[in-house]
Amino acid sequence: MTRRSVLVAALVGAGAAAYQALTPYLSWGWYTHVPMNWLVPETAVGVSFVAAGIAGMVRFPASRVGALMVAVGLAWFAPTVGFLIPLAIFWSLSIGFGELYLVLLAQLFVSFPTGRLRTRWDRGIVAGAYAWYVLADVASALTWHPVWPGQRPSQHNVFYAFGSPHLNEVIGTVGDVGAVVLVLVFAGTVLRHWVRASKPGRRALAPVLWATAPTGAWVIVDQLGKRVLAGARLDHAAHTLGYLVLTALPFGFLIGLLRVRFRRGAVGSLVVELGGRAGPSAGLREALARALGDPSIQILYRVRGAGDSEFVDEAGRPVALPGNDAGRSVTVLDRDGTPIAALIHDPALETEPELLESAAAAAQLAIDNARLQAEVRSQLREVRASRARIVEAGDRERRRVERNLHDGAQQRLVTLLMALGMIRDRAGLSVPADLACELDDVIGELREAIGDLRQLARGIHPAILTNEGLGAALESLAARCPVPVSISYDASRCAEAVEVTAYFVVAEGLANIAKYAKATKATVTVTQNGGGIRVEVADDGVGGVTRASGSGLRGLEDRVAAIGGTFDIHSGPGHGTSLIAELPSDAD
Amino acid sequence: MPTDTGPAPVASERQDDLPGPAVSRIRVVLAEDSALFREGLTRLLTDAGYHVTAAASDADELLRHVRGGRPDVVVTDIRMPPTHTNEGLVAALRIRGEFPDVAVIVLSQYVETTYALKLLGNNPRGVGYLLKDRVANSRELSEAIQRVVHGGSVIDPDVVGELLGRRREHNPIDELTERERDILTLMAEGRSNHAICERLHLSNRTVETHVAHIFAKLGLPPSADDHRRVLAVLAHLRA
Repeated sequence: MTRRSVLVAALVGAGAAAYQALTPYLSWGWYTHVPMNWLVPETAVGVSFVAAGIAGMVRFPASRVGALMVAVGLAWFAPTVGFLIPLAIFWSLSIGFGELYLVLLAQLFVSFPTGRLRTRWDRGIVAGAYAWYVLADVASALTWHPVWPGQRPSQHNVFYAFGSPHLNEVIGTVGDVGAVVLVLVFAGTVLRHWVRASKPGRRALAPVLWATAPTGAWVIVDQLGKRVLAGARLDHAAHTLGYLVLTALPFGFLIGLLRVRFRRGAVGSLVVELGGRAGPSAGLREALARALGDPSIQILYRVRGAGDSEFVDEAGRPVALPGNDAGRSVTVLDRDGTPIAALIHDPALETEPELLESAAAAAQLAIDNARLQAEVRSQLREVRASRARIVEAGDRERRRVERNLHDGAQQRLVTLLMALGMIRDRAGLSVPADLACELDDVIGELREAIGDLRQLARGIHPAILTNEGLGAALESLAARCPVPVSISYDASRCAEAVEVTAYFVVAEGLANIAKYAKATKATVTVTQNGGGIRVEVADDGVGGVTRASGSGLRGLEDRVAAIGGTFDIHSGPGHGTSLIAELPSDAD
Repeated sequence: MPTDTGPAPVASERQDDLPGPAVSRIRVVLAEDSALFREGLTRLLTDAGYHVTAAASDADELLRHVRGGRPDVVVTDIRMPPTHTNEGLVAALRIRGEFPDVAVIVLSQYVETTYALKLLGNNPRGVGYLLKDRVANSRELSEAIQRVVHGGSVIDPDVVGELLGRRREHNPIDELTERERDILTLMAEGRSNHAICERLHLSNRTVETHVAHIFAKLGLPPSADDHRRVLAVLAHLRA
């Protein structure tokens, strides 16, 4: 907000106020006595809005609330000023502008504390209020033709085109009812803002929320009062109260803005807090949240290799910035014109850009540090993800090879076996015995080849794992193991990559036991472990196994790590060996 | 194939003693996605005297033929389109549920007891799980079909071999004599006392005595019913 616009607002506001206050004393001679019970409150409301608005413009230049309050004040003065100029056009216009201040006030309520309409709904209802105001006003102006005794020449409606007093009455009533509905909609919207706001937003909105009910009530009374309460004493009382509410209201807005601001001193302690911390990025978010008074604050970082609008969180996970309608504000922090981080915070903090700036500056080192960590974590995530993808691609390939073997070579050999069997059957006793014997040998050989191929296919990828799950596949492994194996399986099904990994852990473990452990027995235990599963393969053999014992164990460890699990070997000499893999339920 | 018991002296098993339709009246529906194998199998069974009424290329077609034609027996591949996993097994279980009088043999490339036990469920009547290589010997396949058509059950010797061969810490099977082991194997394959007598050239009473010994050594309750017996033996071997 420039100094100049503040000056203009102050001058225009003061002029309008002075004009309104002084007009009854001027020479038009309309007033036989000066109606102080009208003049004082009427002037006070406008002055209050203009003055509070100017204070807002000066103290909270980032918020448009100040300018909006000045606008409400000027709109408040507009009709009375026009009303008192003895020209028909001013008189007619002043009638039309009578309720403009209400629409501006409504806009002020829903745009508080930034003065900006943030969501589509907010913009929609404000546009609706303006549209309703214009429509009702134009319709009324075209049909209004007042006549009363003692009417002055300047007191006639220059816009009157057609219609009757009755039509005008109907239009007026419809307009007022619409206004009442709008009041309820706006009050509901302010309430919703308060509900959805986080701490600083609520702090700012609290006085406004309190002001909503009396203001809304007054507007409703004012609208309906013209028809229902006219002339009654209640009307007088209501109006007195209404003036009081309206006069106090701008200070409610100011207090709301101030309540965001009182956090300012906390930035100093932020410097101290971050300075005294060993790991600069640890607790950065919490420290900023305390300094800014917004527990909901989030810090996102720009990392190299990410797209223009891509940010990651502390852990390096990509996060999308909230959209316009999310009820959150985004402040992008940059260094030499390059964005480095973004603060996602309550919109109320938008009224305090310097607070954000100074907090960000105080935390600059910590933010840089955290950004670098986020960058490393983001890269690590990418590497992990690509490793998992490689493992999964390998599994897919194994599955494909197994399927091709099954449906290709195995199937063809079995068909061939059948054909040979049929040849032997048909040859029957008509061929020499040695030939029949040779044929039987060939058939026997072929069956063995088919058996070998079956075992090969099974080693590449056990189909039973895909079809019947890990439990059945482990039973099948145990049945083939030359060492007695007891299996305890108590886990629900997991992602295929996880089950395949668990299967290979057990397969490799049992193969090692059979080859090297000199064990008398082995146990395989699969249990549910939090969200994932825990696989343990143990034996009572010679022990002394380490990761360096074979490339198989190293490969298992890599495989387990690729899907985000952990792999451990416990093996003291003479105390048997146990391999323990803890796997997530989902390989991500 | 270390556990393959080889071609059995089938000729000595007098199939005509069994109640039920004669071979030439047995109506078979096949299901197999490989055209070459399907045609070969059709010819093999036709040559063996069976009446192959339909040959389906997937499980849906198989179910249609079973519902439409009510065959005596279904011989189906375990793995068929669309997912190429265990459609044949699923279809077999469905047929067993819907048409208990239709016998089913599932042909598979997998030596997996899980599949065999799943197929048997708790009613082993008229059901068989065989490795595909059994087609090498038409008599072996024919014998299996007749056993299931007559309400028996058939478990592939390789599958039984795997069950029997499993190492156990305390294995009561080790206490069996060699002859008792042979009889246990034949029981696990789903054979009746009568068939065991024929196969091993033993008298009925001798076999019954062996069976009683086996059950006592394994700690199983004696069972006169062949169907209950095969389930009890398989459950014991699997445990």
